Amino acid sequence: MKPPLRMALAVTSAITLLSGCSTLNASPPVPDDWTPRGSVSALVAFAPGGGSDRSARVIAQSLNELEAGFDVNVENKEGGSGAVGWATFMAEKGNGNALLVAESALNTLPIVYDVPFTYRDFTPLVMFARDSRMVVAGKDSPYDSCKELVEAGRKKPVKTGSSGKTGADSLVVAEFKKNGGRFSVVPYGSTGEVLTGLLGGRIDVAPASAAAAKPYLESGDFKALCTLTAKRYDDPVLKKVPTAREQGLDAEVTIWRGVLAPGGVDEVQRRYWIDAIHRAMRSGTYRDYIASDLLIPADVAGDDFEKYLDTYDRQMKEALS
Amino acid sequence: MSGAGSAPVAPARARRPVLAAHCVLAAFGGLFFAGSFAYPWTNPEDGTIGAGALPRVAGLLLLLIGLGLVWQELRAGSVLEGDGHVEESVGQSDGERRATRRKLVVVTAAMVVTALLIPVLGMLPALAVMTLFLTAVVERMRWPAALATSVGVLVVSYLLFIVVLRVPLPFGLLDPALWSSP
Amino acid sequence: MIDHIVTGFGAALSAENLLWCFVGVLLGTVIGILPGLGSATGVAILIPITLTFDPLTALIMLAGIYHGSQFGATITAILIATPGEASSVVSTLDGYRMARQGRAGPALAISALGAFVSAMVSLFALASVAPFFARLALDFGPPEMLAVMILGLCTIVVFSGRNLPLGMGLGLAGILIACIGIDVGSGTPRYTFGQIDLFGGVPYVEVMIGLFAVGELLNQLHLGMAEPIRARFRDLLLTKEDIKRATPATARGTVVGFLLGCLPGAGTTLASFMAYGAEKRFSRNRKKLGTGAIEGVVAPDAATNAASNANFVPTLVLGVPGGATTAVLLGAFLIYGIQPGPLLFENQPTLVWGLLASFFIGNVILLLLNLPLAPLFAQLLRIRYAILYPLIIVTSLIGAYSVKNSMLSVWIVIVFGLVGYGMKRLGLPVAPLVLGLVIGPLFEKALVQTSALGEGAVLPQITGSNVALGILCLALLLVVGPVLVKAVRGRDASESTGDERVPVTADGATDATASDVVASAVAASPNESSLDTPNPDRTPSQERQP
Repeated sequence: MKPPLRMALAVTSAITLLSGCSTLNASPPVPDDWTPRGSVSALVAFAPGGGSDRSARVIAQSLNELEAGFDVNVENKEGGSGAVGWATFMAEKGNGNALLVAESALNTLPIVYDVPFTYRDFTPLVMFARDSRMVVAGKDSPYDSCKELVEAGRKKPVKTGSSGKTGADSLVVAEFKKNGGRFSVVPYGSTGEVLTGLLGGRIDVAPASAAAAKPYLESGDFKALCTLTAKRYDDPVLKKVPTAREQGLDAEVTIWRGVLAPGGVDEVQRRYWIDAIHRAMRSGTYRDYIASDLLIPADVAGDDFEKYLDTYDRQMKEALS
Repeated sequence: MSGAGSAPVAPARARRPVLAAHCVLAAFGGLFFAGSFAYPWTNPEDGTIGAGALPRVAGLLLLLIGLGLVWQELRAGSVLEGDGHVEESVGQSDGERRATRRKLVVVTAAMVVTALLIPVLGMLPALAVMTLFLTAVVERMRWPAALATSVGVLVVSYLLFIVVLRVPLPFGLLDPALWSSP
Repeated sequence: MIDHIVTGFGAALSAENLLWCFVGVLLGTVIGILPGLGSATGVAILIPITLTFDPLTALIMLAGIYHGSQFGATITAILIATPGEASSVVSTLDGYRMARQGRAGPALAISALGAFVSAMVSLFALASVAPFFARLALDFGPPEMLAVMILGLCTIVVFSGRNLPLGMGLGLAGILIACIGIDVGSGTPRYTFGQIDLFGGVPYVEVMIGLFAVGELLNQLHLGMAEPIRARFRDLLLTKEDIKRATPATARGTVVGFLLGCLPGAGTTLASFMAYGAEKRFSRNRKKLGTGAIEGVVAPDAATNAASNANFVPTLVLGVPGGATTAVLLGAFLIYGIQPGPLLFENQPTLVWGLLASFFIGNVILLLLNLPLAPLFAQLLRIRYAILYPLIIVTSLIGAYSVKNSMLSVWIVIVFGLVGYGMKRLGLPVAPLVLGLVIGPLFEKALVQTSALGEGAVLPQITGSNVALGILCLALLLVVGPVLVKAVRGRDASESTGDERVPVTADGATDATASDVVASAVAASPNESSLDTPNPDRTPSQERQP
């Protein structure tokens, strides 16, 4: 009995024991009038409080407002930039009572890391929103547009922040690099942290979501250089900000947010959920969310969503390679 | 582990459990140190500190400290380890000591078996079964009392976790999703 | 401003709100008591319930849950050495000893009182000078955070007991365990062996439940099961002496906690560890710390509470959550239409002041609820251990599972339960391991960010910042302070101060300042040990240690 020796044993046994904890996959035949019953889990692969978590809670609440005899509960399974949660969702194969609220990182993560899943392992249901990024700088910054930023980056790398290797910020940097600019990237944990870094003058520019940047634009701490959207924002403060394309850069970043079901669910179940989510998207909760978070409303469902993801995945492979 | 922390004076020889603990620490550091060479010291893109730096330095330090502790233990033995709060079970007979050791093994095994049962039985039933086993078999409580305790555990944790807090606990074979369809 | 306070309280003080606040406090306390279900999980779980309420009522209830769960975590830390959250790990050091001495009642009561006082003070500070402190937080970029983390790591000296190299070794082991998973700086998966479950790393909450709850339980079984403690009623109440000793400790804890809490990401755990470290250095009764001293209970609890309130400074003013729970609350704020940011205090005074008022009310209710309940909670120790320990296993396993809804957590708890048992049998201090585990990733993140700012170089970034240098001086003081004091007081005892042994630390890392600190930590070790327990017989063997 030498307990400390167990520490070494423990590490190895913990790894071997992992295999023992898979869930059961017995799936009964699905009748044509299938409806979900009882508790439905909506998995989010990120921590409570973030953008993904918020979108999942909005979708869950709008679905529950339908009062269709089921109860959607958000389950956070964070870790590894989403890898842990999505890998676990593979085990739900064939389960019609499980949903996944995901986003673009589901495409980018398997490109950057060696993980055992891609978006093809799941069943796309509905893409319910698009988001993008804008680029902001301190109010005394020498740059006034993204064009100038990229030009400056040709001579000397510009310091920018980024909230993760698979997130939208890294796509912004990739787009600018494609246009010839060079950047030195300081890694941060979240968009909030990136903006704090910019506010404290540690970095020169910062990519940020419109919702996060807007208060600072209103207060005059930051100025906006450009948005990476296709069109300008329809918002009193943000409509003055030109897009990167208007400034002559070939740069655009789109992030999708959508609901997916596990792989191998029945066609009946797929149709049920697409219909239910469409009805949920008529709720005030959903519309308030889109408006207050400055998202771009979207509604791409079923096969179209699948095709969209195929195209998106190709673009990401080009952008990140 | 009979020798561990038994006396406040310096023992004449190195104590084996302490030695083993220090060896484990050194080995732990050594393993991480060796493993760190799979990761770069600096990022090739921009020359910033890479993924290998911290585990390499910390692993090496731990390896050295661990070896130092082992050496110290071998040379002099020591009463320095720990915060000096080891409460030893004094006054136990050999029989009692053996019973304690057996109980420890049984309780640990019960936890492991329970963890294995959770995916099958579901979380709460598995834990209720474990409670019944521990109270009735290990602690030799009377069956009615043991049964009451484990049913109590089941009911209270069901109300608390499932009804009030809505923690999604695994149901195992009792999962309504498996049986809801005709 | 007075207007705002009046409006805030006026809005918050309705019968319905008070009722929900009470429910929140109660639920929060229960959540906090359950290991694993910390305030972050608790708030996240209960947000959907509050969605049906009117915003202010919902915020009041969440505030109740938030403060209640923090106190709940302390209850189990004190009674059965099972911290409900990482920040109450330190409370086990002295609180549990007090409980074993039959003084669980006073320990709980002083913890509730200290938490209340520090909450009041820090809320007042939050209300009056939040924007100022937020600006201060902006001065804390990566180099300064790096210095703070080094300071945090230096408190390992305090938690190592008599054998400093061993404490450092365990701290390093904690840092190494924290290296498993996707690396915070460059995003490389490390030591995962292709296991996706390890991508997220070895989560410290589960490790903590294992080390403390299950480890202590096995230890108690080894000792032949703890006797039920039947304290006399007299022992359940606070004495004048207790309050006198607790007052300065509360003040110190509050200051340490508030300052650290203002920094985004430093978190409450670090605050509680550092507050204990401060006590160990500055308290009148510092020598009694670790044996069941009331200062060791109240200071970390005051710091935790002050830090958790100060966490709202970066959360509200900068929109950067200061900790896990504030991250969740930030999400809730957005739902209720509070958009954190530089203009929040000007644009939405009613909601902000309503929120602050609800924090005040939540704390008052918490105190009213828990002060009378403290002796009652202490009665839990009268339950026979044969019934108590299965219950501890049940709550530990459920709690662990619910952190991430993962069976891996359950296995981690069992494995680290065995590790914790072994460490307890050998008298190895657990606190440095937890400290390393918590601070390791924060330290690495700051280090990588600093090097990214300096385009690869770290040292110029640190030497270029007066704040960072100041903090490093503080760290140095923390480590060598007692040695200097001793050197001044008695020349005879100072023989090892000038001892220029080569330290075991061959820190080839990145900055000399850090390695200096660590090196002096090693050099200080013999003095440290003789300071705590004079043991002249041992000096020769200490001199020989590498």
